[in-house]
Amino acid sequence: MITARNIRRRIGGLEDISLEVPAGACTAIIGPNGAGKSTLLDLLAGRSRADSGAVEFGGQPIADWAPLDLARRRAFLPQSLEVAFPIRVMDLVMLGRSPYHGRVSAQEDRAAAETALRLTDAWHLRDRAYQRISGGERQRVQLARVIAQIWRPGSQDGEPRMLLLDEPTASLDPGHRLAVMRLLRDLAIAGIGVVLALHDLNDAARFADQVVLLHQGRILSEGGPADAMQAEVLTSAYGAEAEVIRAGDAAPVIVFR
Amino acid sequence: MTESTIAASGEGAAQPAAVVLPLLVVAVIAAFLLSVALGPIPITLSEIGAALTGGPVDAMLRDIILDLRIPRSLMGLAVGAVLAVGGTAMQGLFRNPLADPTLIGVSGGAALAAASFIVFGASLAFIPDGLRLYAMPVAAFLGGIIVVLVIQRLAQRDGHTDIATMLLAGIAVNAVVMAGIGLLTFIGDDTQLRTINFWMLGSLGGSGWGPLSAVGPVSLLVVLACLALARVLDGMMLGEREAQTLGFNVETAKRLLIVAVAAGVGTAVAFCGVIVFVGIVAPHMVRIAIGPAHRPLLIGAALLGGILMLLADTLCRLIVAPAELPIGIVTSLLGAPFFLALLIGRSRTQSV
Repeated sequence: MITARNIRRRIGGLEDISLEVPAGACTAIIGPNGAGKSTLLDLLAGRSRADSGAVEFGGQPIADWAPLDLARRRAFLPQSLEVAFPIRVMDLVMLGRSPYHGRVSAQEDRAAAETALRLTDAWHLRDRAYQRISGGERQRVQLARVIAQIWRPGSQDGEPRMLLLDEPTASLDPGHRLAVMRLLRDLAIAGIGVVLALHDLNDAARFADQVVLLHQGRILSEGGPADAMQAEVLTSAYGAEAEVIRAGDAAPVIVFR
Repeated sequence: MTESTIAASGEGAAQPAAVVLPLLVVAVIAAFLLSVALGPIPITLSEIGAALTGGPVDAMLRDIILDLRIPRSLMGLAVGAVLAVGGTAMQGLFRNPLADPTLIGVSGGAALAAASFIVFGASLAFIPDGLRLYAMPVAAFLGGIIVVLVIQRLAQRDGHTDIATMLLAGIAVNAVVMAGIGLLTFIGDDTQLRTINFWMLGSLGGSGWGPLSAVGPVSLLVVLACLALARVLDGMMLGEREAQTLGFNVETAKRLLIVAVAAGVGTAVAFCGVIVFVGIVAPHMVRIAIGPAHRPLLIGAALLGGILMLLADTLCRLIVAPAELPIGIVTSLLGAPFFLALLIGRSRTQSV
């Protein structure tokens, strides 16, 4: 669905990354601070341009997409969750429906926003002021906004849809963190390509279909969680001794010492 | 959860804009009639009605109503609307409730050009006397636009306008402009100094059908242009990158907004001088009342901006009648305390 070939970007320090992000799967980008995770996500989302190399979305160079067509198929959850002016939660999520303006009915927009808020367990916040809810609640509300952006009820038309998320669970309590990871996996099963930058390696091991380990702007390892997250490579990437505990078919557990 | 609560909340528990905007329209009409009626010579509503419908009314009163008060009040509405809409657009663009059109240098540039014209204008003998009346507004308008373009040029980075750089460039260029005005007041004689000071404080005293025929249509166009960009401004609440990710053409919108605000505020300032705080206060008050969605916000700010200008101008005419106070003194006296309250309120909510 998204194909990156030999992309470089000096600002952000990405060097020669080639990557295939499939539809219907959950891809986790992991790596230490400053490894280039956010830069890579931005490039894959078409939010910034690579100095060299190519990014394609749905078989077409991502820069060639009409902005509104792309916006209805690809949403991005940034790390920064600030909104300039006091706004009601429901109105904020409805901003995610802007690309559908004049194309679908107001009821359909509202239904998409409601579904998204229910999926992220934030429906009860809909009439609250966004600036007055907690950091974790804001993250779920913004997640609802980006889900609403690519939400199309009953769409089985095979059009590519992509959700890119920069540390979507950073401010969440353990219960909501697991709920959001399960939600993202379910969205992937429903056919959406999900890519997320993640710090929690155990979540990556448990929920991702594909893991990409970045270190100093290069891919250090990639593949299924068990293959990409070996103890030696994690140790060298994070500069702390990693131990990978495996028990049968369950997802491996990673501990740093 | 019952179906009825879902339906009610889906529509939004309350639609304050549907209540506030009609109230503002009523208030505009009231403020308009008030500003036409009040002045050194008081005028009754029936006299206004008679003058408008060609009924029996004293000829001098008719002239005052039709040629002085009404164009002046319409001018107040147009100038207030364009300042407030310009403020709303700049606040949305800079994502900051304290932004106003002076940030992009339009007022400073216009003031520098106007002050230059006041000091050196007499030596520009080639201007025919008939055009002298409009030469200063034209100079002020051009001065405003030129400074905005310089600031925007300085803020260009890889083909896009960097808003943070524009803010800083605006502060630096405004400082240079203010130094220029200071220099002009230094070399000007006493009369010129007084004229410059008066111009810097703003006044609707120069209103008439002629200036209104310039300011009115430009204001209307600028308000409509900003309304057309209301949805981009909504998207900009999330930040420029997020608005782009939502499919908005942010670069084009930024340029259009800056040009529209420069043209609108430049025209207003050219005829009425620098009028401060309306551009900050009006959008902020309306935003508190009806929320940040820009379509109703721009309409509400335009209406409230007009109301504030009319009330301030009426006060100016009454306080020291038959003389007139510069309107900038009144808007500053009323606007500055509000601005301080805004700052204090902001720091309080941010520290929580």
